[in-house]
Amino acid sequence: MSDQSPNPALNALESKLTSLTPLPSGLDRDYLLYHAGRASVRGLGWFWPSATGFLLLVTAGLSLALLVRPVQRPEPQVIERIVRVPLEVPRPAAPSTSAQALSPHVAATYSSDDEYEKQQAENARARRQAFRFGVDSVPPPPASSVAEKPLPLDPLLGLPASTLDDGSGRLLLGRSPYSGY
Amino acid sequence: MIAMGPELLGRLVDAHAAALVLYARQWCSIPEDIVQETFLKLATQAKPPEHPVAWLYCVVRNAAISAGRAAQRRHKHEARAAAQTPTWFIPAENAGLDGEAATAALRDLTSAQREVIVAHIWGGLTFEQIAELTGTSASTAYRWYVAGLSALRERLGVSCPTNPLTPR
Repeated sequence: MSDQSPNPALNALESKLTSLTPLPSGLDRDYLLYHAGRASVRGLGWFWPSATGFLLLVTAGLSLALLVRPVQRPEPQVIERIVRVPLEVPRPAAPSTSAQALSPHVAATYSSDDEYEKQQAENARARRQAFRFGVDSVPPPPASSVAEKPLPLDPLLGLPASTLDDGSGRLLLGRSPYSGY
Repeated sequence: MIAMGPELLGRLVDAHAAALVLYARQWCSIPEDIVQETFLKLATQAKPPEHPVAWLYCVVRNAAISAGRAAQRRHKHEARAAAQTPTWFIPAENAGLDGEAATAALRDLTSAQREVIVAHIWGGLTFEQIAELTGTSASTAYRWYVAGLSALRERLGVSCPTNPLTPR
């Protein structure tokens, strides 16, 4: 398409119009170029603000979690383990040995453990009967060699043997110079 | 990401800013702002346009029309006042035409005729570019141009010269 009008009158008018200069734009050229330069590099402007915002959020979240987290007290730790304890089997003791473990005068009174235990059981039964029905309900002890043979007083008092007792069942208190005998 | 160098941008501003303001003035009362925003938009283009001048006119046209519509909705009286700018041209004694008279005659044209005349005479766009700009064909743009010039000649009283002008 030709840019030239075929009408000469229109060509003259076009020439006169071309000679008219539009009013200045009023644009500040330096201002425009400065802002155009800034706008042209604004493409990566999102990176640092985004990174700053992200780190700010992370910091705030961690700080909040640090403030509101529950206090963790150490709970006692239960450790289950099997401990094998060696069972001590009592060695069978000889009757004579058990009797020798008793006090000397008990050992001297009872000839065997069976007799001693039998006497202890009898005493316990009599004690219970006395507590329950009174002393009068307790039968008199049977006559035995224990009653006939009085206990020696010397070992009980920590004195040497035959100090108070000569083995006949009679006290030697009369030998005292302070006695009235 | 510098799509357009500052030298080229400066040359475009120097050569086309005034004509772009004149072009935008047809639709809005803030043509300088429209043109400035258009140059800034050109600077941020990742891929520079193939024809920067035509691109500038296209963007200025769209922005000016939008701004003019918004201004008409908000401040009709301000738009009318802006349209009453005395002259669009620098007064010149040897131009052969009075600037104010030319401005008044241009205002009386239809918007399509005025747009084609401004874009072709002061913008330097071809009719093909104007057709692409206005969404019409080049022949239609040319018809609008001739019709507009004829109306201007009648209003301005320009007589036919005895010696035809040599083609430009």
